[in-house]
Amino acid sequence: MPQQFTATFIEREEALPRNAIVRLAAPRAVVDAAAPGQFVMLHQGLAAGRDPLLPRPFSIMRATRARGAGEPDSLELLVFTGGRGAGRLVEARPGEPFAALGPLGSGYQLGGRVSRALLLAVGHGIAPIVALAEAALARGVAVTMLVGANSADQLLPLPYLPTDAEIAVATADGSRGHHGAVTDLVPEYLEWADGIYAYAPEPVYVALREALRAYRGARTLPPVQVAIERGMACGVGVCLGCVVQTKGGLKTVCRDGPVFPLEQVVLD
Amino acid sequence: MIAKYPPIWARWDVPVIVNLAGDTVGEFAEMAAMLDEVQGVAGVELNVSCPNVEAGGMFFGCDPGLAAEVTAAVRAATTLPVIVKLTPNVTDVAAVARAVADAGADALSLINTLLGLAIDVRRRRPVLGNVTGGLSGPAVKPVALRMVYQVAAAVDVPIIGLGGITGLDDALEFLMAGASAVQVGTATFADLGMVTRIIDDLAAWLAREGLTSVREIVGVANAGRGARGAE
Ligand SMILES: Cc1cc2nc3c(=O)[nH]c(=O)nc-3n(C[C@H](O)[C@H](O)[C@H](O)COP(=O)(O)OP(=O)(O)OC[C@H]3O[C@@H](n4cnc5c(N)ncnc54)[C@H](O)[C@@H]3O)c2cc1C
Ligand SMILES: Cc1cc2nc3c(=O)[nH]c(=O)nc-3n(C[C@H](O)[C@H](O)[C@H](O)COP(=O)(O)O)c2cc1C
Ligand code: FES
Repeated sequence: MPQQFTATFIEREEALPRNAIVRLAAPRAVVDAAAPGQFVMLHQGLAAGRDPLLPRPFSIMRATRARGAGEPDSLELLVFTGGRGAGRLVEARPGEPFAALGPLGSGYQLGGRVSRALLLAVGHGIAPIVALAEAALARGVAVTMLVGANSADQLLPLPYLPTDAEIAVATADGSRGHHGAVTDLVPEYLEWADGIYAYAPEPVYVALREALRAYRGARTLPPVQVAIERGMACGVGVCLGCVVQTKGGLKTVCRDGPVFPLEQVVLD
Repeated sequence: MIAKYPPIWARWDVPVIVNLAGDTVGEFAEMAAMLDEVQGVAGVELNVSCPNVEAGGMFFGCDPGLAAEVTAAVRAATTLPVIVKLTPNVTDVAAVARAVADAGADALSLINTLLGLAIDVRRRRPVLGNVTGGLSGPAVKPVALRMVYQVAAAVDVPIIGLGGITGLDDALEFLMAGASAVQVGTATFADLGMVTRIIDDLAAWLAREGLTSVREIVGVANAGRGARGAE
């Protein structure tokens, strides 16, 4: 069950240019309930002004119980610093409160039969993909992470990534790893993976779908789950501002998603 | 729907009003009849800001005659209180208000969203798939207040004011313009506790002002309402 709570700013770490990892204190019930692919809606509260008016969705990268006495239970988010709402979050001072709602949405389903998971992330999608990688590794699932970016400086540095995952990188400018699209790396894992999980802009999913269609091997292809993003006002399925077209009709990204089976979503 | 939700509402300690939208006059009346005497339903509010399929897509709420027709049909179909929700996308809101009040509306609520549009400069296309969309929230408050003021001076039925309310001060403005009650839409997305906070703040404000009832401030800022001697 999602709940309304106050998330208190603890600290920020500039993990990447124009992106910061933000750590917020949160109630234990929220931290314990958070599952990979779920998100929180965050707002400074109307008391702090009306700009922006609406809360913003952010994926949960890590939900951690306090490590020692006097430490808070916390949520870690990876936040792009350019926007208005996110900017306020990143510039907050320790102790500053944010009105929060979460954990929200339906996240990745890591079925019991999955033993080799292929994860694919572009942009801030690395945040929920890290969450999924850590949950999968904790269950003994082998994990390969494919991470794409325009250039090497936009890749989340290794210390922030799970050490037990195999990581392969692609950059558009060739400054690290494969020179090209991250989806170019997918074919060589299609015989290996028994589950594929992605968080990236939609054009990447179109390329991913092409890569799967091009497969000529004998194996039944693994199921693919992808996360969709839409602007959100409520985060709980009442405003219908976040709908996505699926083969089963219009669905809310905030409640039915953000994670959907790739074959279900209508990509344009 | 009727089997599922009203029994839940009946257990709540607040009355639940069902907002209805239809494509034809008949659909509105049919829905209102289905809800009549259903436990847990305290009233209906007609969303007339939608196109009438039988009248070439003309919006019910943009034409006094159509608005009156749908109001009268619903009035005849149910014993429930009937609230008609007015659209701001008209030239003369008072004319529509008078028409629906005369057709038997028990109360009016206003305003619905203002028709708006935004363009994504990068993609050189409208942002919304539907091209236009409903504008709500603080930006529409002055328009909403002006319309509540005009309608309060034009009719004698109670008015529910809404549009951009984000706190006590906004609610007070609507009450003083002539609304007997207020609704909060968009601000609830920003803060789920908004409505209960306004209720608490209003009670505290009344006590500070030495007032015993909200009635004492309804329409106090409205010269036209005073002239009609309403409330
Ligand atoms: C389920 C879900 C999960 C999400 N998770 C995350 C997450 O983990 N991390 C994250 O950062 N975002 C995430 N987002 C996206 C985020 O919610 C939106 O980008 C949101 O609009 C940010 O609010 P804002 O007020 O900062 O940006 P706004 O001011 O609303 O800006 C709107 C858009 O413009 C872009 N933008 C604004 N300023 C600049 C600029 N100077 N240069 C380039 N682009 C700019 C922003 O990235 C944003 O996409 C998620 C969205 C969804 C639906
Ligand atoms: C997401 C959203 C959905 C709405 N849905 C309805 C609706 O189904 N019926 C209706 O009569 N008005 C609907 N409205 C209009 C609101 O009830 C209200 O009239 C308007 O938004 C102005 O009030 P506000 O500024 O407090 O939101 C909707 C508004 C929003 C923002
Ligand atoms: S954000 Fe309101 S329905 Fe999804």
